[in-house]
Amino acid sequence: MATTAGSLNTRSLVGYGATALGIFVAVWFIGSSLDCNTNLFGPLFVTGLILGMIYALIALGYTMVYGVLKLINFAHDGIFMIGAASLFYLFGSWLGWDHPFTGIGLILVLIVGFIASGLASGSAAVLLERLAYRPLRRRGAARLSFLIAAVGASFFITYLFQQKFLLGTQEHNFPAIMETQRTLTFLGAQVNNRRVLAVLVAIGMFLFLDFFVRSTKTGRSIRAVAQDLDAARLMGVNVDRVVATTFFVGGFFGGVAGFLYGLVFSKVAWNLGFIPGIKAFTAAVLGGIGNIRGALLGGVALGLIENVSTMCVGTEWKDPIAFSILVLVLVFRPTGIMGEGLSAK
Amino acid sequence: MTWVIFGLWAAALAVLVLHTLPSWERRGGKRGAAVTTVLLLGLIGVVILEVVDPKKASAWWARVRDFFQRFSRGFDNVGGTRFVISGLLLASIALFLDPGKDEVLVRTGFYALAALGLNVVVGLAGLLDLGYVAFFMIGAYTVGMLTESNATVHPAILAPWIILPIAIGVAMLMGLLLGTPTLRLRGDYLAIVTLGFHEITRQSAKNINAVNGSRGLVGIPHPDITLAGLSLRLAGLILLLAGLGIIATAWINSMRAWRKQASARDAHGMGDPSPVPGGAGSAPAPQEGSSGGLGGIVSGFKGQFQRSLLAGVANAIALFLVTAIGLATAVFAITQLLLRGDALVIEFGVLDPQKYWFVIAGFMVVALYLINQLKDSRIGRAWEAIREDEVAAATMGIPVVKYKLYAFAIGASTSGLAGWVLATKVGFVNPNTFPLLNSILVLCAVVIGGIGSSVGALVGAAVVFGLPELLRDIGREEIGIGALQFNVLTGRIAIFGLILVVMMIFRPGGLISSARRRAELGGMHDMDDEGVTDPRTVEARDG
Repeated sequence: MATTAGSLNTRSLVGYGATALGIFVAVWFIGSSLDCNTNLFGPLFVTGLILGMIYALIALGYTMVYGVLKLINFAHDGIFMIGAASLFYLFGSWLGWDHPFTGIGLILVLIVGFIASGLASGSAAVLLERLAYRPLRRRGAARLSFLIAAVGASFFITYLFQQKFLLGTQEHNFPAIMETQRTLTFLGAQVNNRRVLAVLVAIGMFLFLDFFVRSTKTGRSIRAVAQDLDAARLMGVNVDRVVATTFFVGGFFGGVAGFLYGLVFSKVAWNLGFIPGIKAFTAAVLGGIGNIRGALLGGVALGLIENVSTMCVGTEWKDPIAFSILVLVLVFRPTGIMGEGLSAK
Repeated sequence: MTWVIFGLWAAALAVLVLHTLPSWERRGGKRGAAVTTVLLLGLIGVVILEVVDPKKASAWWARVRDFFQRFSRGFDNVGGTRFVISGLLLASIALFLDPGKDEVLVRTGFYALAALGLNVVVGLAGLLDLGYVAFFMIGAYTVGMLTESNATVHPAILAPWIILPIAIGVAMLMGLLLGTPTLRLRGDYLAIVTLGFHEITRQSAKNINAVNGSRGLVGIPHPDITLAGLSLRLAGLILLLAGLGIIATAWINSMRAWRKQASARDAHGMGDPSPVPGGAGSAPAPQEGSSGGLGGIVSGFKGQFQRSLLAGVANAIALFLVTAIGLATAVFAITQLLLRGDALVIEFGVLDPQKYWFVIAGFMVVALYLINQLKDSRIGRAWEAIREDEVAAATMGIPVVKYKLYAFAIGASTSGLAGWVLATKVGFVNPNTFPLLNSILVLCAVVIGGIGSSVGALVGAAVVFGLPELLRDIGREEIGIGALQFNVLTGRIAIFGLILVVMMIFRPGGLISSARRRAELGGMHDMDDEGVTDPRTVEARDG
């Protein structure tokens, strides 16, 4: 979904990597030179990075759907939550895999978790598209109708899971399938194996998606639809199927994000997706909405900035800071870092 | 005795409902008005008949439709009357409810005011605002900070009623501040930004010590009306003038409308066929000159009844009601207030929801009137243009951002107003009173009731906020079998979410909508899988 707009838009992986590194280094530099609570810098930086990766995964769902349909899928926060919830049920009540695994067993469990959460969320996303958005698309409904339907869907999913027969109103513990081992030390902060896993999985998925979108036929058709839906249709692309695939991929990423979130932060709740959803959207916009690499960049950038900034102001200001970033980006650079020609019309 | 009053009330309500038909007709097309009226008054019978004898049913259907078309065309738009009556009807709802339900009514009232404002933003201007309750909170906190509450910072200490315009103004200002950078962007972005803004406001309120963080502000005084130095005499005089003013406005409007009808009829060559013996003060005027002066007024009045008996009768009843009310007010003022010299004290206790409801009803009527005026003005037309096609509107020279900003600010001010009422009634405000959920619920109210329809906003608020409270006893149980237990009360939000989606697909206009609005939101195309518009389905579509 890279376009020609935006000065920082690069087709090459190298340029992209350089931008990412630049942001990384900038935050590191500024953060470490800030004079408040310097002992917190390391842990905050690491948490910011991990959280940022998770935001990036969720952001991908927003950005892909927006790129293809020009629609903000508000319900994506519920989809993210479904990923975590599905594993809560799968590992918890159904399979009883609530104890730590090691070795091959652990690898197996992780693979199962990966696939299960991705599938659950992916299919939920496809279902959502089929039931809520496709009828509106068919009729050429106004943008407002889509947005309202999206909000309705989001609340339906989220509050459905608030019911007692599902997650209920309390917070649950994510099944403890992995022993926490201190793996390495980075910037003076302990990084355990869960966090390392999260980062590796996220980066891996983005690399795969990059390849997928660039080199496979389906990926190209997604890009085509994102560029010009009618032209793609004229060229013989099955738009409905592409849209469904897009939702699936976005949902899959969101589901895995739920899995990783549960793994790293050990909690599952009905409102898990609410705040991360908004922040992930901020990340998508920050990186350049419609831009896949932008999602990763924006996610990491947002995670880092919002966490490192709490060094000086206190954690209760984390959310306001994240939202303020959204407003600032939309006002000063609506196309985001990577750029995508999308301001007023 | 209550039944008599209730009967009068129901009659007045019927008159009012029918009175608003012309505006429905103007906006939705004749078919829209007629169909809606039929739904209100005769649908059940025809449906039953439909089952029994379909052919006769369609004949009846056509007859009923024609009747109401003639009827609605016959109605005068006597502006002032309508709002006075609707205000009184709204206010009097409180008299018919059991004591416990009064509270529910008032709480619904707050959100109904908010829904009115959100309807302007979403329905008239087409901007999706998901963080609407933020302005509610700002209004309420403004009250808190300007009265003798336990806030640590008080810019000033003022009486509640003086704070009213200030609260509205502050909310409006915040609306402008938020809107200026973001209204230049697409609608989708605005939605998220307003969502974020709500959260920012709420979190800031929680974290700033000047407003006491999560404990909030307590001790906000009630809006007692103690006009020190203002005697009952003066209040009586004001009431007297108000009563006479209402009568005068209604009669002047009516007579003007009648005269206009008479001259319109003259222009079409339709005179006054049956002279009324011993008529209302003047002999029947000759055909050519019947549009002049008193004769025109009289013949216009008679003409109503000729066009549609029901319309004429209803108009007459409406005018009579307003006159009666105005006279009653004037008499009350004279006998009770002018003859006593006490100081004027009206207390608003906490356990006194009725008085608050009267205040809310009054605000509602004022808001309804102002919004109605806006809809029919240059601003309203600009909003409609922007809503339908922003680019085209801009091309035609409409300053899009400016008008969007107006809508946003007006919406914010209504919300601030509702916040004032909430703060002064409940007496305390804290961040937990304003969760994001309420923003979405207000949006639900607007959508379910009818996007773009003020009355719809009120109906929607009643459905979304009032109904669950009234059904609270039923909702205590959980329905479902075994593990699949669904608590209707707490799960109502999930249900509303589902309703939103279903409504967008099947009835995008909401409960009270015009066909045009439905087409606007729901799309005019019936596309098959290849994306080709099928002309047959476009024609056959209920447009």
